[in-house]
Amino acid sequence: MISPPTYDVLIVGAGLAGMRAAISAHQQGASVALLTKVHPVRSHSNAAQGGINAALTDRGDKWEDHAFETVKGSDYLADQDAVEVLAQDAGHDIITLEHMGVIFNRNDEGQLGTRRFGGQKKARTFFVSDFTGQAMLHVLYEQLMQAKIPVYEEWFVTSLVKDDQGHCAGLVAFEMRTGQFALFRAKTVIMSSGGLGRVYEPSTNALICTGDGMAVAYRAGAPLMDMEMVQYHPTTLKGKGLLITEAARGEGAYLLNKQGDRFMKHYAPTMLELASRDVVSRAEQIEINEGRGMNGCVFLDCRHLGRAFLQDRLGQIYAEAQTFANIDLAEELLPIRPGMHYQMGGIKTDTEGRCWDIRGQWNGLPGLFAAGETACVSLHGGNRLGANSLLDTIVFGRRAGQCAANYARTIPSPTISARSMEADQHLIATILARKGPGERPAALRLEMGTTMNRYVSVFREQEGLETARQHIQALKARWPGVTIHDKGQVFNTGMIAVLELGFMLDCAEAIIAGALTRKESRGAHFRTDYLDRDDEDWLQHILLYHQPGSEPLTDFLPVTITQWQPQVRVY
Amino acid sequence: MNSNPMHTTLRVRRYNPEQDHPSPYYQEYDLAFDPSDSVLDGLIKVRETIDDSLTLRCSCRGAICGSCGMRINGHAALACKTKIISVAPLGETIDVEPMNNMPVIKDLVTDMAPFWEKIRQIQPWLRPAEPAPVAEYLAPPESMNHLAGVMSCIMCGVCVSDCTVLEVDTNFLGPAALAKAYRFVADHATSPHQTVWRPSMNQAACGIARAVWNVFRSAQKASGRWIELWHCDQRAWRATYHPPAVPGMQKYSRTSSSIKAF
Repeated sequence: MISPPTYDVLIVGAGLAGMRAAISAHQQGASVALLTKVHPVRSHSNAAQGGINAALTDRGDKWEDHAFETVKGSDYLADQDAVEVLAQDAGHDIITLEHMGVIFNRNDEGQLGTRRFGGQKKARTFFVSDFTGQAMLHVLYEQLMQAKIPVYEEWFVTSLVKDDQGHCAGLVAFEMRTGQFALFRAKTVIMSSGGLGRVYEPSTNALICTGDGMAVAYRAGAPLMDMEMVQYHPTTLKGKGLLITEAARGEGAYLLNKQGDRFMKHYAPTMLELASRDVVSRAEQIEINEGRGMNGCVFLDCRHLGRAFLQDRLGQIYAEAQTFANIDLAEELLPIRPGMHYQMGGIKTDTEGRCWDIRGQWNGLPGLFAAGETACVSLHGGNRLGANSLLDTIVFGRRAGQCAANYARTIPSPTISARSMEADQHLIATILARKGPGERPAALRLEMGTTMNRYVSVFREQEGLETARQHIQALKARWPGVTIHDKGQVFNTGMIAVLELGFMLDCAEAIIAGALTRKESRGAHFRTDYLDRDDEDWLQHILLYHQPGSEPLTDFLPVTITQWQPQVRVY
Repeated sequence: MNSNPMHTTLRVRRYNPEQDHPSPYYQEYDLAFDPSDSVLDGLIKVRETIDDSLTLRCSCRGAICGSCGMRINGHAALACKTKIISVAPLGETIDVEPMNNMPVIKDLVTDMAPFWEKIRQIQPWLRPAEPAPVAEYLAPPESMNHLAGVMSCIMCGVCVSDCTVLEVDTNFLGPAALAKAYRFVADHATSPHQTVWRPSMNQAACGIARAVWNVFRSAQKASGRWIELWHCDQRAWRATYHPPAVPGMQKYSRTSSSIKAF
């Protein structure tokens, strides 16, 4: 039996947010460990290609401009206090990354160079070719090795544990290599386990993005917020939905319909291809729906950029187009379409990463923190700007780590019993004991994914959402009958698939509940039965609380507005 | 979807440590495939529809996470990046085996701990000789582009799997760790005089770096990234590295940045 030491700060997920949190908590003197279902450098932060935003004053940029464009991009659903924190901290956090060893591209003066990204008038996106996330991830892992912070690699979290006072006091997890369970006691837990892309099929997200952290926190009593805000990225490949970075358009690529028309001029006359993602994705979908696409796609045109430029600045997608679409970007048009990419919503936190409210305006789970895509501060509101997600992980990962370390100093060690593991152990034993020709988890996941992609996508309406809700309810009812044939303890990936499916079904239910509740169109949530944004009634967040065995409980929280009153949103 | 799909056979090396007398064996799976399918797509199809006990690591499907390194027809590669049609154009049987030069945990899942231990041995983190400037380090764009080439290594272990030197000398650091070291050795802007090789540097290992160059190059080609290990090979002889003068470097001052950031 494994009995790990008690930690001040235990972090679930070792992508950018988790590792940044670990490093900052460690610097505060806290005892820290990370627990992750994949090796840290296999995390999905790898997939962030294009860059990371910051307004550096010495480049003639202003943090207020970055903040405003983020707020406008969010369709005024972002909490402006959080956006101000993000934009003000950005410069310092990026220089810190550079000092840690991230090899950002330079301009001719030898300074950090920038490129343009969508929804922003100024070039303020810092980048490492088109593998910025990967470069950052590997450097943070270097820092983790240097600090000798323990990492429980390939451990799978099954639930959070609360003490008698309802304070989050640790978690239950098992080691994938042995199947052995352990109870982890911790004064604070930071959830930084990434997104939920696999709820959809297809999705740009990696196969590990199964909403585990959101579901585990949700089940333990933390509210999920803005869950209806699911971003469809404008440029994904047909088939498996692989991502083509927005940097392609940032560097000058066009979007064309089958007539060769740069159609964005009809939808966003000023910003064209670099309007915010929800706007571009809707435009593409309209082109496709009205017959101006080809085989369900429109085209990305990079030909005028030239081969050398493509190889240098966009090398990853140049290779990706070749390998996965058999297209030579320097010579041919690349068929692309909108595809599920990012969850703006997540576990509700404040600007310090706390999943409970110290001002008493909403309920939550004391002792729990969250950062990154798992969390919802709310920074991104109805629509995230490209290159703000990496920034989110770095700024709010750091802040969550600091706050958790400081908070841990003020509270006693947790007291929870080893019996907290029993329910999860029993569940695993039950799944393993199931015999006969039950349904396979993959079959249910595919049904869930195609349902979500059909009814809860770029365009939504009441009837479709109701249909989706019924489908997901039916799938939840079938989940207890899912059967796997691998009965072993060692690296039982079938078992992992069953557990992940359970998490994803809870996330799907929350997304639909949010989408049914919000009777307006805002950001990524476009209702064909409620075409307009309705600031009178809907300048508020939807919070969802888990109710075992029934629909989520809904609550509302007004949007925090500091200096930018909602305006008509035109690009 | 093609109404008359092509077929292949995946001949997978299996190993289940929980069997009474565990020993590796081969199992064949007949598979219908689409021309766009990768070997990983095929394996996932087997796992999801035929045999959920078939065990492998995979995540991104796009050759960036480095999870699905394995041997395909004897050569290490990323399964997600290897098209079925490219290795079995006529539907030939495809041999799929775990990576070489590392212990097998189960089926295609290998123990990467020795791999990471060697990465740790070179102490791959930036230790600036002087306090960092207030703003960023100033550096020529081309030198940063050059380093980015090394930074783009995804640490999948494929080059280690195919390394013939490791087969005869397990103490050899291996190509991935050497490439990682090169990132620090060659960094003129942020870590001049940084000593990365220090005590852990095995001089014999440096000597045979040249011998693995061909292996490494082929592995790197497989992952689509070009890393100039040649430089690494030449410079790795020195226990402490002093960067040579780089043309144009003089115009960049490292510490006297005029930038007033933020």
